[in-house]
Parts: sequence; structure tokens; C-alpha cells
Amino acid sequence: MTARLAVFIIAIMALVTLPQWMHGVYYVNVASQILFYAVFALGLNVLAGYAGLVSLGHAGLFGISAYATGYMLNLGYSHSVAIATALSIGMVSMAIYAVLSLRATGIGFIMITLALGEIVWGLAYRWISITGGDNGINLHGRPEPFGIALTSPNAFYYAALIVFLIALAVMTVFVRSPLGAALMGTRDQPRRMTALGYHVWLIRFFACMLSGLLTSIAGILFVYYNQFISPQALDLTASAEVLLMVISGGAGTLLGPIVGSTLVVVVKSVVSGYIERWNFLLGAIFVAIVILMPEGLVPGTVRLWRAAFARRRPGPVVEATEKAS
Amino acid sequence: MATSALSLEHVDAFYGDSHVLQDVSFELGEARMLGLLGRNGAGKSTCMNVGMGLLGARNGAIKVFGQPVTRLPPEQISASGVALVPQGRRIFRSLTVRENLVVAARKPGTAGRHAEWTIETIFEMFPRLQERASQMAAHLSGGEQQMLAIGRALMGNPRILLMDEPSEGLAPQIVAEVMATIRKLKESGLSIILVEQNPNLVFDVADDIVILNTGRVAVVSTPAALQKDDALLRQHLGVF
Repeated sequence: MTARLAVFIIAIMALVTLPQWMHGVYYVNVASQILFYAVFALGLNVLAGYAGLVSLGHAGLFGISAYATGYMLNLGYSHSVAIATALSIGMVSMAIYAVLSLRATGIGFIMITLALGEIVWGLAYRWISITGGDNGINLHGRPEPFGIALTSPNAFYYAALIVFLIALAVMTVFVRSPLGAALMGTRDQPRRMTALGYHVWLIRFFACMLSGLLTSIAGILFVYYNQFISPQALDLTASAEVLLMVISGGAGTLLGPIVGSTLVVVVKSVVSGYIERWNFLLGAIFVAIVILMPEGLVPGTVRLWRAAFARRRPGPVVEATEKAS
Repeated sequence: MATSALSLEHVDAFYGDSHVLQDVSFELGEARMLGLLGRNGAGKSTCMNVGMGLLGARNGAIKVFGQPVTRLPPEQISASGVALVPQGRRIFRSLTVRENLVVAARKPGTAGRHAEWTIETIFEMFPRLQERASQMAAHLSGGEQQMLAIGRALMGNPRILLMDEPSEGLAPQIVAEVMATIRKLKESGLSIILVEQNPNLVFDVADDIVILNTGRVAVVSTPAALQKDDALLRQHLGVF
């Protein structure tokens, strides 16, 4: 068994048994938040990490699916209809986002997505008949897949864990597929990719759709978890926060967004209980990461680990023998 | 000359307002190798970019096996069987060697003359790439990067290969290896345009020679004829 596989099995076992060893409902709820924010960050990572397209409007998409779920449930539709509608609306919105924003790359892409995110936030704030304006939308109840009610924190945690693991598996397969390699190729050298016969725009569009799917799923989990959605969940701060999760953990890596979302949620939900100025602490952590590990926590830790391992490795036997003689 | 694989007919191309290719015409015969020579800034790489569709021709026509491709985007020209080994290699540095090859994989072109290139056949040709299959391409030496760039182009199963200064920046021993590979590719029946600054490398392998001078075709000849004409070489290339 390789070390990597052993670590993976231990991590899965720890996640599966978390409600048993984690004392207190509050911490199980924090773990649920980490899981759906990790799905959100994985979605943004498709664009920011693997496609080289940094979006500052993803909270808008996150909010669209959350609002759609809440709106459909309040109209009296079943959970399955609400979820299917939310996913559909989320994907259509992502397609519109993509068509408009893929006209540019770099700073242009950032500015267009920022503008789109602000438009969605403005609609959520002002379209009161649909969104409830500043008061938001309240939900009542969670779905019961296969007759299992997700009302308890533990049940919701397991539902979030299953969704998270599926999202992680999808991302792992995607990143290792030829399409994943092609997406990274468009990030590194789009011109060269056209010379290799690729339609760069189409690959980026597909990446946007995958990103939109994961973001919509995260939005649905968010609204079921909180039983409430308001414009605050899709403002610029929310978009920036998830981007920081991706960057701090390590953009363009599978584990980075998960580590980043864990860091942000733990500081916001746990450390904030002990430190009043937790925003200052979070900012300081980000500054430290950017200075010490500009590539992010996961790749930075791997780099330091390898450097330390290389330093401890003993010299070749021949050399030692020669010195002894 | 045999059937034309790639032809440029009275092509004009511009970088902004700079008229870099002026009424350029030449033909690459099927299963032949054309050496494209010229000093720095003569327009050799621009010809490659125009042939690949990376730079649009403002006037003239470009044909691949008789089919006009002048206004087509690069991905469609690539689909018609043209592949480019770019100057400076330009491999995907953040992908592994294997991923660099996988990303370029395509089925053989319609002519179907050539054996289908796969990762296995590329590794047979370049065993050193197989040894480093899981390494990031950024960690390869210059020679290995050049092998990867050639392998990546071949993974597209092209009928026409455009090679832009494949010996650039390589040690003499590695240059010899790369040239041996190019010779093998020619023997396999590929139609190749080889751009080089060093005419001696081209004279060894090419069937036909075109010399560009300040964006115009100055000479169309054969290696044997050119090697006898020192004055002409001195005039256009500043050598011999």
C-alpha cells in the first residue's frame, strides 16, 4: 500500500466517523459548512486553477441556485423539482456568464465576472417580489432522500459528505482526463492549443459549465443548511472569500480548495468565538501564505516537505566509503 | 515536383503595419522535405505561422493537398493534417510528459498514409521520454523538451509537419539526435518543412530549398545546386 493511499483511507475513515468522535452538534455543523464550501471552492478552482480564468462573480451563481431552490419550495413544489429547477437555472446562468465573460481573459475576465456578480446581487436586493429583497427567503424543511430525513445535523453532514466525495471524484477524473490536460493547456498556451487542433473557447466554455454545476450544487446545500438565503450570500465579499479559499489552499490542485475552505470556515466559525478580531487574523494568515507559500498551502507544504526530506537523505554509500578509507 | 502537400501562393502577411511577407510563393511536395532558410527576420517563422493559420494572410492563398485553407482557423488547419513544432519548443510546462502527449492525440488524417502515432510509438522513438513520462515537462532538458515538442506534433497524426528551428539552443550531440529523428520522419513519408538558421543541417536532409530574404522568396533551388554556389549563399545567408 502506498503512503498516499494510506493517507486517503485514513482521511475517509476520519470523515465518515466524524460525528462519533467530534463532540458537539456545533462542530458537526461546522464540518458540514466546510464540505459545501469545499464543493464551491472546487467549482471555482476549475476556472481559477485549471483554466487560468479568475472569476469574481461566482457567488452570484451560488446565490442563483440557492434562491431558485428557496423560491420553488415556497411555491409548494417538491424538493426534487426544486433541486432540478435550481440546477437547471444555475447551469443556464453559467452559460450566460460564460458567453459574456469568455470574450476576454485575464483582467478583462475578472472585471466582466465581477460586473455579472454585482448585477445578480442587485437583482437579489431589488427584485423583492421574487427574492424578498433584504429580508431574503426562508425555507421550511430539508429533503428526505430514500426516506432518510436530513433534519438532524448528523444526517445533513452525511448528505453533504456524499455530495462532496462525488464532487471530488468527478474533479479527480476530470483533471486526469485528456480534457483536463487540454484545459490546463489552454491556461498555459492557448495559441499553441489552437495549433494542436483545439477550439480553445469551447474547452473554456465546458470548464465554465463544470464549474457552474459544482457551484450550483454548493448553493443548494448552502440554502438547505441555513434554511435561509439573502443578498449577503452573493455579494462581492462572498465571491472574494471563495477565491481566497482556492488561492490560499493552492489553485490548480485537488486538495488546495478543500484545505482553503477548511481554513476559512474554521477561522470564521470556530476561532471567531475566541478572538474578536478574527478578520484581522484571517487577513494575517492570508498575507503569511502569500509571502511564505505563494503557490498555496498544499503545494507549499509539499515543497517544504521535499526540501526537508532531501536535506535529511544520507549521501551515497560510495562517497561514505571513500571518506572512511 | 510531386503532388503539392502545402503551397503558399502570392502570400502577403503583416504584423500590424509591418509588411513581413511580400508575395511569397513556394510549394512543399508530398513526402518531401523543404528546407526554409534565411537570416534573422527574413520571415521564416512567419511563413510557419501563416501555414498553420496562427497569422492570417492578407492576400494570396494557402492550400493543403489542393484544398484552400487561407481563411480557416488554426484548429481546422490542424484537423486537415498540419502540425507545427514551434520555435522555442513551447511545451506545456505544468503538464507531465505523458499529459503533453495525450493532449495532442488525434486520429490519422484522411489520407491515412502514415502509421498511427500513439504514446507507445512516440516512446519507442524517444525512449528518454518514456523514462520521464510522469515528470513535469518543465523539468526536462532542452533536448528532451525538443523531443517532446516533436512527439506532441506527431501525436496529431499529421500529414504535413512544420518544424521551426528544432536545433535552436541544443548541444551538437543532441542536434545530431534530433536530425536523425527528422530523417526517420522523412523516410516514413511525412511532408516536412524544416526552418533552420544553419544551412548545413538542412542540406543534409532536404530535397528542396527556399531562401527568404527580407520577407521575399529570394531563391528556390536544391541542396546540391546551392552547395556549389558560394556567392549566392554568401549573398542571402552571409555564410561560406
